[in-house]
Amino acid sequence: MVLVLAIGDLHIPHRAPDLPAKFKSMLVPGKIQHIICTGNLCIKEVHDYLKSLCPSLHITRGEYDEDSRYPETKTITIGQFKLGLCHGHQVVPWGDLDSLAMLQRQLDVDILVSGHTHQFKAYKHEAGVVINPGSATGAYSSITYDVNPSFVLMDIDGLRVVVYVYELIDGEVKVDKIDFKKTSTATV
Amino acid sequence: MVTHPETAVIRARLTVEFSTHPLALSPKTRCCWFFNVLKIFLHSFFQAANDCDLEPVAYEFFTQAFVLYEEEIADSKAQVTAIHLIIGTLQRTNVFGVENRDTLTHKATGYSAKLLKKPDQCRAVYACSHLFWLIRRLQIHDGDLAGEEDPATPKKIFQLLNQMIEALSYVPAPELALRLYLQCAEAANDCDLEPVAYEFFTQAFVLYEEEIADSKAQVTAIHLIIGTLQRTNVFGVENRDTLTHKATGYSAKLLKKPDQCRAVYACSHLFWVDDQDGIKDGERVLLCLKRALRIANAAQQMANVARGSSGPVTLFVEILNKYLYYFEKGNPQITSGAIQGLIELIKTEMQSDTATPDQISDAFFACTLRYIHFQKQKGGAMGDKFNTIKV
Repeated sequence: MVLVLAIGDLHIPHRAPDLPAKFKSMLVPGKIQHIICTGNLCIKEVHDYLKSLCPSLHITRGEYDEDSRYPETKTITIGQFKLGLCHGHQVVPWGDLDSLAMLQRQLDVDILVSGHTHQFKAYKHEAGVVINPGSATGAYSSITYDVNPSFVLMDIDGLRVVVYVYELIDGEVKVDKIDFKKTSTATV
Repeated sequence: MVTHPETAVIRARLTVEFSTHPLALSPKTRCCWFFNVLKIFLHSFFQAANDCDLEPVAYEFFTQAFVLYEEEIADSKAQVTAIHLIIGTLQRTNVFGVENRDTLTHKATGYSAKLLKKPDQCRAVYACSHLFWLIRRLQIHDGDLAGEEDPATPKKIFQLLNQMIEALSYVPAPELALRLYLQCAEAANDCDLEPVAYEFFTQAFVLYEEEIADSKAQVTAIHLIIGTLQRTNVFGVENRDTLTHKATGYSAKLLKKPDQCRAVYACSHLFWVDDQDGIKDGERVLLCLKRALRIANAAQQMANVARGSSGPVTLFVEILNKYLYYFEKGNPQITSGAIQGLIELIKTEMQSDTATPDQISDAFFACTLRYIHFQKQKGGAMGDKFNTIKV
């Protein structure tokens, strides 16, 4: 059982001062094995905070990130799964699932994690899964009206991954989960 | 005005604080002390605003916070934290009417632009700009802005935003300014203000041409322009043509051929919007893809000449995927014949003597072929359509 936190689009301090208190109290060091971050942190303090939660931190560059050294895309292998990471502002039309599926083929990954739209999505197709963890701070986005703060926790266990999405709606944390199983050649 | 008991308590507490005002402290301690008082003011403001819905009281607390900031927070690091506290508090409340909010945002912007260090100025000014988006959203939500009833208000906001962008240009921070121009263009699009949106796009292009010199920054900037333009629907044919022409032109002039190719095929999406009333110009889509293909060919030839071996076929596989995208969407200009031709081209390139073996392109191509097979197996109209592609 490997826990992977997928988080991004915090936009601190430009659009949000901090993570919601209820999220902060849930995210404690030592519980998560990997963090994958879609980008738009935007400052070093956020990087350091995420690093304090888990040393295995993977970040791709968002268009507002002040650290320009983050890569445009990244691929990571966790257990039986190949994960791809990309902020998503590079994929036009923004939020278009077919265009994201193309990036998924290009990176040759089972799970593609990307952000930019600030809206949680989990889209399953024949070749894998596209996940958007949304914005962890609920930061403003011109693409999504009424952004609810959200992040995703993936539980990778053998050929199965359970995706938990945590959303802050009207002050309460709501959790939903989606199951994905992978056959030896493709995700079903 | 009914005074909520909690507000009365806060006011009493503050009176006590100020009556024991320590004048004879060292500057640093004094600054610290006032910083804490500032925090109390903001906290009180927050309570007044959110719990009690008392706009005038909240406004007063906020004004006092600014006075404190101006007169007593002298340490530059404390200033940065303080201004972000102020902006952050403003972001999280919605009790203010348009005028009060404008005044406070204007003040916050002014102080942000005067911070000591340039990166701090950037962040703070940009953070202030986001207060405007919140106003816009609230107005649309509450139905205050019918668009026609009081056209002065959104225009006034855009004027203020223009001032902010100018503040950023003095830093200078052209990349941030460009992003803000694009956001303004989007907001103008939402307000149905075509000339304003057009002006913002024009300014964004000017900045792109004159101030964004770094090639990596150019690639990001052009994709942001294309992505934003793809989502705007306020433009008439003439304006849209001018802007798409500019976008495609700049895309083809990026420094490196692979970047040119990718930006040009991204431009194809400017001519195909999936909405009900969206533009669906199949011919211009094909023109973009063909142009991207020419650039990819040129890149291959350059690689041949330079290294004596062909470059990776990734670009061709990317363009193939775009052909498949539009084929699936029903663009009549994209034929299965053209797709087969591309597949043959890729196979030839991969198998040629001069080919550089590339795991990534190979895997990408294999995934693409697998995708075509999946589509064939879907059956129905989609299956029939994809079955015309002989692989």
